[in-house]
Amino acid sequence: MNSEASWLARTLSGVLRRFGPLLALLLMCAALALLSEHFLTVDNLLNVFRQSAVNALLALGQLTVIITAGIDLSVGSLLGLCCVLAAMALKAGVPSAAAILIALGAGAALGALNGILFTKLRLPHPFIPTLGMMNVARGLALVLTGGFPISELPSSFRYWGAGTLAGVPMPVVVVLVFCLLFHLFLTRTTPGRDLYAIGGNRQAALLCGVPVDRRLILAYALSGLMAGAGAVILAGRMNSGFPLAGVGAELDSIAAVIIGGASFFGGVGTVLGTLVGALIMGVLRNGLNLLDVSAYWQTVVIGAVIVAAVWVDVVRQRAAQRSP
Amino acid sequence: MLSSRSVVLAVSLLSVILAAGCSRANRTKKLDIVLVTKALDSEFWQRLKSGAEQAAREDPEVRLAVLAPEREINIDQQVAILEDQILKRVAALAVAPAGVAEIIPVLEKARAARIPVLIVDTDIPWPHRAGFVGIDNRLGGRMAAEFILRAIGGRGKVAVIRGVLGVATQEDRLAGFLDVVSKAPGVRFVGAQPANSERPLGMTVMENLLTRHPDLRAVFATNDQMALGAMEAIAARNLTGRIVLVGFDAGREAVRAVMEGRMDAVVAQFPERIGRRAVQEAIKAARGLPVERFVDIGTGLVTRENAHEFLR
Amino acid sequence: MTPPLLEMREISKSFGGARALDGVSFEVLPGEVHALVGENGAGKSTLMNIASGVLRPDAGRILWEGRALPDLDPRRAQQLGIAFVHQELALVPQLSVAENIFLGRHPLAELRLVDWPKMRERAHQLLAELGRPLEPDLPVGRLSVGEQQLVEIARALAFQARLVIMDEPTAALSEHEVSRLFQVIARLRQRGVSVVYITHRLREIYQTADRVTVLRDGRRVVSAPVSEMPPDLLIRHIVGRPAQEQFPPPGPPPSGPPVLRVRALSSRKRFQDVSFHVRAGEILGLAGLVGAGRTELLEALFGAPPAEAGQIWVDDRPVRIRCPLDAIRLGIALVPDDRKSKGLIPGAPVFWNLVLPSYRRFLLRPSEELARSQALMQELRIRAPGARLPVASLSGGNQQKVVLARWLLAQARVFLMDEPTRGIDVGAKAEVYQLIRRLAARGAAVVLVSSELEEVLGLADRILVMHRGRVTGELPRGEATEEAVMRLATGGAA
Repeated sequence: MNSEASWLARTLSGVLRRFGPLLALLLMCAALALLSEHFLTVDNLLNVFRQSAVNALLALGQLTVIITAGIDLSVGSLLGLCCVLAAMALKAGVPSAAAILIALGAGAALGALNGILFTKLRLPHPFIPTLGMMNVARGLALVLTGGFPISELPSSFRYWGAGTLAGVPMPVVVVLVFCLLFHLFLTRTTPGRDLYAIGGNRQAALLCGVPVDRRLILAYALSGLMAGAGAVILAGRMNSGFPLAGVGAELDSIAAVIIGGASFFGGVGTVLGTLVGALIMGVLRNGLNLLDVSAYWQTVVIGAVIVAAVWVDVVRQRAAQRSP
Repeated sequence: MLSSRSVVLAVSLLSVILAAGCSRANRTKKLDIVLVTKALDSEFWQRLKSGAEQAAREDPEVRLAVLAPEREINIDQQVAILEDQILKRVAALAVAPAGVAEIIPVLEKARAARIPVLIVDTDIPWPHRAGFVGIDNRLGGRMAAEFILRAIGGRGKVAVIRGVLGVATQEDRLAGFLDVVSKAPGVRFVGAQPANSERPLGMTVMENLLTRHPDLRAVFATNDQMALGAMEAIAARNLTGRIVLVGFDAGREAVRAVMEGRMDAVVAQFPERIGRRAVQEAIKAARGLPVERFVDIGTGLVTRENAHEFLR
Repeated sequence: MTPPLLEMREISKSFGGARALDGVSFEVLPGEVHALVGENGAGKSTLMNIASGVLRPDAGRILWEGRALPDLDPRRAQQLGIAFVHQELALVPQLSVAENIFLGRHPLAELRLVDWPKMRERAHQLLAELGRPLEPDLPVGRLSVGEQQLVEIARALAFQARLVIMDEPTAALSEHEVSRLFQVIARLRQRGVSVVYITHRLREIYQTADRVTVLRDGRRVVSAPVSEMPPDLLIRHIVGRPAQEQFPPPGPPPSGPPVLRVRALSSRKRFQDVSFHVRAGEILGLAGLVGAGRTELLEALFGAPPAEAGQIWVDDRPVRIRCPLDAIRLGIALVPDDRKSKGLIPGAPVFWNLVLPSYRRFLLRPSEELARSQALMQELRIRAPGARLPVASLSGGNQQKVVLARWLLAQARVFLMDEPTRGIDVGAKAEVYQLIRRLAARGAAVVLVSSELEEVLGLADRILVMHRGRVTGELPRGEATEEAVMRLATGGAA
């Protein structure tokens, strides 16, 4: 009897740990559906997805870094820089496909540089190199453009941000494809598992033969790559490469990862959770917009959700340490 | 474990419900007008908002919402707000665009949804707008330049401290200023330095200008915040009264500074009037009535002589 | 007759559904050293946390000098004079010795300012009473672990402690520091202070304790004077079954070619000019004091980080080992000295911890990995509720077996083992000894570092002794005695 009850409690808490963010998302959607007749419409749900797309992409990259117990503060600025680079390339007559490769390549290369600075210069914490990169990239974006946005981009480029595929907005398609790729990478490959090992205990991973430096560089390169992908979507959607794009986006991406159940201490985090985290933020913003609540209150609400989510993480850690 | 999870849910749900409860107090079939500004974090936008709300109160059928992104540079957030409002099929939108090309795709969506869009404060080259309510910023720039020319007797170095590049209001103010200054042979224009419309940056830029050009005679800052920052830099070098300083917007702080002689003049906008007219025109558009293509609210020049009139 | 200083009657305590203590009674007499032993999870720490007010019992009574203490909390415990010297020391490394001793209770002069001269003088006096004058102004971070422990004990004395609880105080100490600690304990006893001494090292009980209490599975098995408790009986009480032969018998003398050979290996400041070899089937013991450079030597052989000079041969081929991956490819395995910080990924599943070094192809093979892990866990009797559960949920002994087992999976041939039995209980120790011997019998070469001399003497076929980064001598199994090893380890001639 007693053991049955404790089994039930364990299973339930396991389900909650795994699907807690998803459950929160569904409950939020249910509440919003009751409050606004506009919320639960196909158009609006596509809106939410589209508005969350850039944050979701950045958050996927941020996830790989946070799994290693790191942090990437540069993604917002890299997003801005990649926007500008792609737009400049397009203006110079480069074909759209090449402009996209430029954005992705520049993002990945600068991300890898973050990783190299962190591992090879032995900087004490990834906070430092990525904070530096955050300023350098933003500064470069402003220098390259003189501060002016570069607008009126060709429609073949804009397709990725504003077009649709079989009725589904392209940003949504891109996000789903990357989610699948990242999920496979993190759960089915040795380098993916290595990232969790590094986040769980970097020294132990090293002593088990994990090429720690190479993997860390890979994680930061992936984060930069996603900033490039986000840039393609954003510039396409806004029809402009603007140098101030993505100011503060790094914090939103971190928030999405944390709300999605990843641990700041590293070693924990899933793609599904992160996607749900980004959607929770998107749904909150969209729902509050529909209810005509000001952006400042939205910020308050999202802040409270972040703190609550991290608090849950801490409580979970403490419970895990106490139980054995 | 169990309880902590539920707390998170409760927090997020509660906040949603509370927020919703506030805004859903009286919902009947009304004419929904939405004003989306660039931000609400300054006196200018707050005054514009209060003018808008006043106009909405005068018409009992109208329900007005004033929304804005957190900061003027969050263009993507403004786009998201517009998308969500378009989805609600509001009766009319009044928008102060945070970007130019960036904002047009979403305005096209409004057009597709047959929602009339009125542009406020910052004009954009979008032919389908129902109309524009704002001021002639170029004229404002000219007024500032003419004041400065008189004050320095048509001779000496002048500089401009300007806001974010690429924003039409900022470009127009500078262009108007240069229209006048370029025709004055005794005046040397030493450049327009950007300070992002922020006060601390305005101060830094002014300090640098004073170092580079010790013989600077006059400065035009294209908004109040930068002018107030520049004013501090000038005061710190004990140059108050020796360098002519002109701002733009005429918020209370700037007007008071003019009264006290710490600033020489400020080009005045009348944000309450802008907000008021914007909503009135949007209501007309929503009802299918004809809308003026360009409602010029007009500008004024605040100087020491008339400053008290602006402080009411 | 004077009442016991501390008496705990019928104490019970549960965590969640698990019963940690079940009606345990325990008493400490004034001025006695009382050893508290038992396997991991037997309830020792829980009992002492209750005694120091950190935890509250579910049932039972606590008496102090015969008077009941119904609501003992950490503050009250401190006022009574109960001090807990934890395994993880609670000192502030940046502050000085004196400041740490008086942390939170600085002697105050006028105007509530800290009276520095008085503080320094009293710190000096306290340390002198313990027989170890330390410079009171030195930052604690610069002291050795043993010296830090002393500071913590001095801290206990500074507030007139009458009962000092020590949780595995010798776990991180060298032999030399251990003997000094015993002197300190003797002085505490002279001053009438009682000591509760938690340990896994049975020998220490006979060296220092007056009485011993054994806990097993949350119950008290026995309390008796140490003189009435011979070692096999004690072990039987601890593990609950007759004592096995602790060390397995050695195999035939190894005669194969050297698998690992090292010449003139040096790493600035850490070890110099180290040369040795180890044959297939041989266990080479590496003895020395803490700080002699043994851990650094093993880590250098594993490329973490590599040595700065010298040559290494594996199977008579010269090799370069620049990182752990190089070493692993050569069939070398390292069992690090601290499984918490270097050995395990605590939050990851047991099977991940097992397969990490051996499954390095791009795509994972979860079912194969799981199956091989489960087979290995069965073979080594790793007791875990499941291979998918976090390794942190296992007991210390089983965690250590996981660290060892991963190298079996990787088919290593050279095992560098650094303190392979640190912090695990008697039963698990015996299993680890047998595993090491079995590895050697299968043809592996083992280099064994241990701070417990009897372990090296009991297992090794040959013993190399290090002192301050240099090899000071080599002893074959027959000639190795404790005295001979200690003489070399302290720098004396062989």
